[in-house]
Amino acid sequence: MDLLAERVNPLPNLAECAREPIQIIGHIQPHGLLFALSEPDLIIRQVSINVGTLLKMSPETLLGCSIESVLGAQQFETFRSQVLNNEPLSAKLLRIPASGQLLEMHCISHRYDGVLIVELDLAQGTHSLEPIELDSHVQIPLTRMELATEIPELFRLAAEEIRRLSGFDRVMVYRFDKSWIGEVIAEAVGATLPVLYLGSRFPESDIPAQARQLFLMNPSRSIADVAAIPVPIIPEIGPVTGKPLDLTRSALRSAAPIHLKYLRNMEVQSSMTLSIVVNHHLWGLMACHGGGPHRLDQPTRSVCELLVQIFASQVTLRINNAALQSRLTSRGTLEKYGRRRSVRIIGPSRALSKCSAPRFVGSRRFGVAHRRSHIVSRRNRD
Amino acid sequence: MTEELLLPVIARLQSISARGIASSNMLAALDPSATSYASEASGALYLRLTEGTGDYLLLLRRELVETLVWAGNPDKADSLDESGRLRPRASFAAWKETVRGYSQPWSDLELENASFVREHLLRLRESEKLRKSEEQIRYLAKFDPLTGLLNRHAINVKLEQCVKQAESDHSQIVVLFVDLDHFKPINDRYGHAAGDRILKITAKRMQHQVRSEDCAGRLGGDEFIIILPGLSLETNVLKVVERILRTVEEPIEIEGGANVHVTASIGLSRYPIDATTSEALISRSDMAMYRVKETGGNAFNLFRADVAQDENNTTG
Repeated sequence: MDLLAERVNPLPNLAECAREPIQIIGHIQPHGLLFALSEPDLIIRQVSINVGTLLKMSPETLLGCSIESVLGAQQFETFRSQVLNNEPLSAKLLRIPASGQLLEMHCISHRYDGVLIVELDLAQGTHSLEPIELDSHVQIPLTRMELATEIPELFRLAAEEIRRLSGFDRVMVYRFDKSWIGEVIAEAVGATLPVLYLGSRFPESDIPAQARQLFLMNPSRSIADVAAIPVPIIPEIGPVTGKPLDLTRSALRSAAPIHLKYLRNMEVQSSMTLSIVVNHHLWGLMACHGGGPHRLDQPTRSVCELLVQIFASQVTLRINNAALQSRLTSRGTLEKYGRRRSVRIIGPSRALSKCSAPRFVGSRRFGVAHRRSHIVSRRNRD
Repeated sequence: MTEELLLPVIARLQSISARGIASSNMLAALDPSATSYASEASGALYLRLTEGTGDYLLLLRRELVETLVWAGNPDKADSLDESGRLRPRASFAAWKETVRGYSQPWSDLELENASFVREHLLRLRESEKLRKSEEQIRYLAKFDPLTGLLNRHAINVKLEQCVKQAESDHSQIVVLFVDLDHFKPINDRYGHAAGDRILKITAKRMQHQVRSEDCAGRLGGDEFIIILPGLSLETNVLKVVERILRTVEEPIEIEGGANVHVTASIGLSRYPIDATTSEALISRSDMAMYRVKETGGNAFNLFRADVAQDENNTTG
């Protein structure tokens, strides 16, 4: 799997560009609102300008006001007590007043880099699993995954289950090798679509280091519509922090233009990418592609994230088990070999000639020597 | 494949090794010379066994030629557009690449095991070294390092054992004191290396003339002791002595091509007739040898109590 473990990056001159910070992009996707608040006054310091179109409120007027003016007195009270008590800022379905009517929006809040970021995600127009039934959505896939005896079967099952839950057209398990080259090791598609990428590899630069860092920190990343026009956040520099807003953990963060172009070239209009983290390491991704605009509501996305976490823990379990098993086996071999009193040390030319017969070497003896390997030893005259 | 061919890669592996281990699954990336043997060896795991350019263990892996399918040409994965911005590839159609020059990579477990093997080999080498130096010490305690004969201490011990044995089974022992004639001038003339060579060859020749149960030793300088247990004048002892004299005087070729002739003076003492302790047997054979020297060497002489008495009288 790590065939190209030490392959050198073919485009070293582009490594520079890859370092462009994608988390300070200054824009969000248009299907939600973003507010950057200072604490503890909960004053709006930065805002996405689509409050104008969605809430019919002037963004400039909102700056310097309490978030109460968006949430309304009652919802604000709940929000404030949660923030003050440092309770986990879980997703909540809120009804946001917008010029006489109420918009259903999922509220997701998080703190990052000294800023309280509140994101309101439009419930309308989403793929939703509601009512959420953990039994059917998580329990059954979990049981299936546990029963999978072969690892490829586990990958295939996971892709299938995520496709079923998320409603995307194509779901792929994308695994990184040591040099971050990706390989599609499972691909689930709807009945009418062809399998396109199974077994294909993707160069390291497709998912550069700073993108991988974001995937390691966030369980998922959604792009609802490649064609949607990004919405700027104003002002660009936060008046309290003196810095551009860091959207590392933002759900609505707009994608980098190059990535949007990448998806367009792939003929993908919407995507959701779920991180597969194994032993605190970004092992791979669950890549979901849609041929048209597609987005999940917050609870549905959470279910997908949960399922991928379960899948990741299955992978962790199996990887660690296999590693432990082979470690025990080779340790046993090595210990046995270590108990032998004498080892003959032969010169390199004899070693090379001996090794032309492959059976002379092999894991049976050393645990480290591949069957197709040679051994050369050298003994200096001392 | 030869070690010489691998040397450039080995040098690179050595320089990148950490905690005595280095590995690569593409040797040509370490040194271009590796391309010439890529099919035989494209990967290597190097274990350093001693500091610097010392001993090592090298495991080689064959090339693993594989055809990869890329989602679009990976060499065109990204390019820069007119304004210097990064641009993704336009096509994601399957693009095949045959990868050469790589071996199967070394897994973490393999590297871990290699480290285990290395430590084991280091321990093994240490104990081997220890065993060798102990052997050396034991050898030096008993043998003369130049000639390989018993040393002064060991010959005394041996003679004491023989005396005890002879006491119990009422047998006889003959002790020969062998001293080379005019050895010092030879040493001065031809040098110490030649002198050492003469001593070595003479020792070997003498050992050839005695039985396995007999013992030869070097007291130091050009003085040798030969113990012949169970022999007496009545048996063949004089023949043995005669043979020793003849073999010693055969020419010895030294470095530079010169032939050197050496002769020996041999004194005999007998247990229990002349003496009954090892010290006395050696000193009396020494006395007898001294008599030979006085008459010009290259001969043997039996210890005689009356002569020894005279000597004691004149010197005492």
